[in-house]
Amino acid sequence: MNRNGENKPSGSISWEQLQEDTLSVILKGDWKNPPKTDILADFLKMLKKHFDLRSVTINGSDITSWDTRLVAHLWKIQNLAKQYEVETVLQSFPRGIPRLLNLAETSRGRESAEPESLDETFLSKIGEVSLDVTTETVRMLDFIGALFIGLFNFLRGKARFRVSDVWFFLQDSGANALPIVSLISFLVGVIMAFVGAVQLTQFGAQIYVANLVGIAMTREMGALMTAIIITGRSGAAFAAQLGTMMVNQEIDALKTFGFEPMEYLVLPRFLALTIMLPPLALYADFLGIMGGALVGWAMLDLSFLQYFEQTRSALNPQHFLLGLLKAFIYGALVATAGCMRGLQSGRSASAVGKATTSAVVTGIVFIIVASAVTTYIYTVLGW
Amino acid sequence: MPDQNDTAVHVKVQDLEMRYNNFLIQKNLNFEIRKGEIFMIAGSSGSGKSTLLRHLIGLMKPVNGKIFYHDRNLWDMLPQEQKALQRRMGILYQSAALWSSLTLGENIAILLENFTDYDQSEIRHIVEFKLALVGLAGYQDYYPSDISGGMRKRAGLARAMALDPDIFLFDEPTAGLDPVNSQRLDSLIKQLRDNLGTTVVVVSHELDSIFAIGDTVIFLDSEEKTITGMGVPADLRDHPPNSRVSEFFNRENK
Ligand SMILES: Nc1ncnc2c1ncn2[C@@H]1O[C@H](COP(=O)(O)OP(=O)(O)OP(=O)(O)O)[C@@H](O)[C@H]1O
Ligand SMILES: [Mg+2]
Repeated sequence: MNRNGENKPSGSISWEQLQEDTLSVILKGDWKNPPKTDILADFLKMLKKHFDLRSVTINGSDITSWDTRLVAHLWKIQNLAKQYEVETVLQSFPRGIPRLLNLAETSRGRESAEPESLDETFLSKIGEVSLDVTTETVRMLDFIGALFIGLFNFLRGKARFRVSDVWFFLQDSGANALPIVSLISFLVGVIMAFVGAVQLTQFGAQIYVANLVGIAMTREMGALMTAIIITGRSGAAFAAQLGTMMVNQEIDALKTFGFEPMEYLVLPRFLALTIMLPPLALYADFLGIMGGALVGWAMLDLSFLQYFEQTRSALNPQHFLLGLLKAFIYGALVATAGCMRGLQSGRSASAVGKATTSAVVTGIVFIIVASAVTTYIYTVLGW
Repeated sequence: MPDQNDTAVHVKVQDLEMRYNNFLIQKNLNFEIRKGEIFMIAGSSGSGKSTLLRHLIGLMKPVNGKIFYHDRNLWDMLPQEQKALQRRMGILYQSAALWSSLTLGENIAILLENFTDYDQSEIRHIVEFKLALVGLAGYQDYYPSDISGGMRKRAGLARAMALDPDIFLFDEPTAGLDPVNSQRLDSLIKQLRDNLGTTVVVVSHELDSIFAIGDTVIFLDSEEKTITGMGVPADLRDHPPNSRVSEFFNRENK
């Protein structure tokens, strides 16, 4: 059986040098089924071999059928010839072909506004990275400076923003986050109790699981887990919202109509998260303790009453307050990371995607660094 | 009327050069916009019309050259002076740039609430009136995402008119509109100028608009990367200085 096209006569191309400075190319046959040779490479070889070449005549009188592949080949040949300052003349081609070529002629592409640097040597990369770090730091300080001005204006009562936006973001980042915060903090309590139980039963000190879970949740984990959840929910959402507004020129419009994006857009989000994170963290503390109690009851034969009594004796208000202070700081950082990445977003859909990712990464880095620093300070102060 | 006071120059652009990163968009731009005239910016897609508008607004700083408003250099002003100037501009962005979390009514009302001392009922009436002017009566409770692109453009125009600015800067106000609405918008722009004396700068490649309302037109050439045609639209059509201007202004009458 014949496989498709194998035995069909294909189109052909032949090259003939007529004189020193002219080349004649003849195309024949069925060019819907072009020859398997690399025409452009052959032509380039000719151009390189014959320096004196001034003109190329391409004859297509015997072409029986063709499609746009042929036109594309001819177009490439014309362009290549132009680079070598060789003139091309098309002779007796089917009428459609020169017309299509003319269309392509007028719509030639232009260089891009952002040329990619091609030579990426190791040193140039190091240079680029250090430049990136510098500009990144400057941009961050820029944003934080502007944010402080915005907060200052807010305290003076001079900031322009919509109070209803604050309510909206309070609800969106607070109440709507309750289910996921419940689940995660409960499970974190369970996990800590498990780990503690295995160790502490070796010493017969299983009752101290309650101390472990209670203190860890209130001082560190409640705020930390909540902050990480809120980074993923609200920090990412903020970056996407502001990035999209950037793409739609909505932020330009705000600026020119006399609104400060820092006040109108960032302030409500910043206020909402700093207000909302402490109560959310407190809620997470309690759910974590419940998780611990469940493990105590199921694994360690502790009654709920015993467990809660032990927790109560282990905790004092200071533990809660230290955790809430952390939550407050995390709230400020998550809002800052989200809004900053959003406002720094480029003006395309993919840039918004990048801004969102970057907001989450930045937010988590901020949180972890802040967690380490505050824990260190608490320890030094003996809190 | 535009030529009752020929000497009053509202905006003056001197040797302006525009680049993105290092890529040249346009250079050696020199022109004046007189007070109360309708000034059209024409040119092929990608020639830099929107970029020029961003420079006129002060959203982009020129690489070279100066932009004067009433003989004050835009970039010699203090930041708060620049902001005050921008607040007196009525800008329609190419993408309309309506605030997507607000309804059409709120998009206009928020400006009146923040920058005037009108009371609420007055603001409501103004909002409804401005929307009616652009043919969107009764649409004040719609969100920008719930209306068509052409309607968004018109709502953006209504927002630009909210504070009765000194100068309008419109980026393709009639793009994407049907001929009837497009004509209505053109006559609205002319009425605004005739009755309020507002200077109007319009980016457009609709020949109908250019000939119907333009007092002066400049042609941004994407090959030469500068202005290759400037003057009264009909004059440019009848005596084009070069083939691309001729091609642009005569494409209808082949
Ligand atoms: N943010 C940007 N970064 C880099 N280059 C840009 C950017 N925005 C526009 N350009 C380039 O600048 C040139 C001019 O763009 P501009 O938007 O001003 O064109 P235009 O004349 O308004 O076109 P259109 O009629 O299609 O709106 C384009 O060639 C575009 O590639
Ligand atoms: Mg444009």
